[in-house]
Amino acid sequence: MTVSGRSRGFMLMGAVVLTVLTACSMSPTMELAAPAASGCPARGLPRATTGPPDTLSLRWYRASVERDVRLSSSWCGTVGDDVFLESPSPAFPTWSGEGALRVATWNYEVGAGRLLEFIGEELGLDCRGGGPLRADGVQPFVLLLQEAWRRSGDLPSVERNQLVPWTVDPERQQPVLDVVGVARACGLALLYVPSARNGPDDGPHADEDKGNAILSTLPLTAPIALELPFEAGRKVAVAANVRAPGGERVRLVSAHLDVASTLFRTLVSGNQTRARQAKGLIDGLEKAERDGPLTGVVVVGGDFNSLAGNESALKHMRAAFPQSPEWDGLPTWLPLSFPVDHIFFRRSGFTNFTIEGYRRIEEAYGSDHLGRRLEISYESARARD
Amino acid sequence: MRPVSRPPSAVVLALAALLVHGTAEAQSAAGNSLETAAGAALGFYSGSMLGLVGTMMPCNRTLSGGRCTISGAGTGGALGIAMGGLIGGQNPDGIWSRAENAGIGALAGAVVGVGLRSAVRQYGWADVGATAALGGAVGAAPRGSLIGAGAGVVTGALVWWIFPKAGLPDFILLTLAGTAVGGMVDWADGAATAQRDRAAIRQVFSISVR
Repeated sequence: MTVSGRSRGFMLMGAVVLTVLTACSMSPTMELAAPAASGCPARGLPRATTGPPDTLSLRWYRASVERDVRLSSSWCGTVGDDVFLESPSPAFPTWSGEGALRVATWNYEVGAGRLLEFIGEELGLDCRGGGPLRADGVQPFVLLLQEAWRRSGDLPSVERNQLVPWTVDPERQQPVLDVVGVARACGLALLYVPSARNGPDDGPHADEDKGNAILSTLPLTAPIALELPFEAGRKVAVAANVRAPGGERVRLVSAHLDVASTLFRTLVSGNQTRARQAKGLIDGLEKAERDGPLTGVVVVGGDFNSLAGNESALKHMRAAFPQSPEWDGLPTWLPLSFPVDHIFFRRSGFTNFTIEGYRRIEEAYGSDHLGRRLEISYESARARD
Repeated sequence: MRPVSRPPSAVVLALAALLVHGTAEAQSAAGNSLETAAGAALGFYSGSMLGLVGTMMPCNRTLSGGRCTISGAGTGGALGIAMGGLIGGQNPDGIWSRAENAGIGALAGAVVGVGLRSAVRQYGWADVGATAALGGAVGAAPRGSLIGAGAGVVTGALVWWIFPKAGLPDFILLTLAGTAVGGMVDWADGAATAQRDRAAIRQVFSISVR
């Protein structure tokens, strides 16, 4: 009996210790970080040094767990610098009067998707010809991209002990224009922050990295990179602000969560991979909000890799973004019909912003994802009176 | 001591009672304290792993996902302690047999894990440990787990066929849940059988004394 009782005691103690350790390493909390010379986030930075509102320098938030910092830093050491082109072509009309802002999100699968065609067909900006930009009549839009890719001759070489993901579709002939090339060809503002390399140094696409991006016909300010809690791979959400007709700031966020963690972490976290990353994203955005500038209206679009429409990650997002449009029940990832792509919306006290026309884009344009789009309509205070 | 006459599948409904009752039973088995402890330990390990695996997909559809799976693993572990302790206290051969099966399961899981590790770039030795731990948990309750997995596969396939929108995620959910429930029923069945056998032995013994 005493052996049995003592054993049970040890087991219970072990379970408690394991639970506490697990809970500590699973924290989704984010912290502000300073950019290091390499373009990766450095250690925590006091709030007082965060610069003025509407800064044009990239602000970093990262997960506060040491394991996440270590692994993300290792991955970050393999990618190139971020790209921020804050001003679009002056030919684009501003968001003015009672007009609407069109927002689309699309995972274009590291170059498999025909981005120029998508922009032409879905957003009304045809820059496929290579001639002078014909921007008149284009409705203001912001495109949130996941698995955007960039070709660069300045990527660091990958050390033997650094993990880089596999090359996506190594046989594929990449398009002529990467995301930076498309932004320049179309005269769009761009924020691109790479998350990972597209394969190792000896792979067929060794000069490429990939990550999230924002393309916009409106000027972008207050760029933010949120290095999400690390699960199986480094994921960096990007955010930037545009100005509404009345001067209100609207923050747009492009996010991509992990499809799966390692088996070990799946077990010890109870399969909370994406829920943890979603909570990290929400926490990071809240901290960014507190650090300024004030941005009550937030739109988050992305590939959440959710296997079901009622997953924990999506529930957390809907709770944090209570004015999100209702999901239509339709899948967007074509191979297995998973509902992975979503857009979430929060307007805080800015009731003059409303969501309209949330729907799935029915053409894949070569990607394995269907995009989603909506319109944010704006009503000025004068019109409301 | 009254033998349990209910069918094994019904025994799982009385698991909470067994947690208390089973401990007392195990205590009364003089000379079997090592087997009782070993049974409780194996039951805790297998039950908590099965509870975790069975609840992690349903819990990933709730806002309290992490707490939900901890509850699932905790419940499985608690029930495992009770039933493993009962089996160990009353049928030492049974618990050593389960431990042996758990070892075989862990070995098989480790082999699968090593294969996955060489195939998936991000997997390391911790993931091999995870598959081995899963294999061991299933191996400790092999018959029930496999029958449960089979039932889960059939149910999942039917649900997928009748409700196409359920898709692959619900199929996997039902398969894992079936494995977990089947494994726990296996433990409950083992505990019930151990109690029945012990009651029978006591009856025979009392007749011979008279």
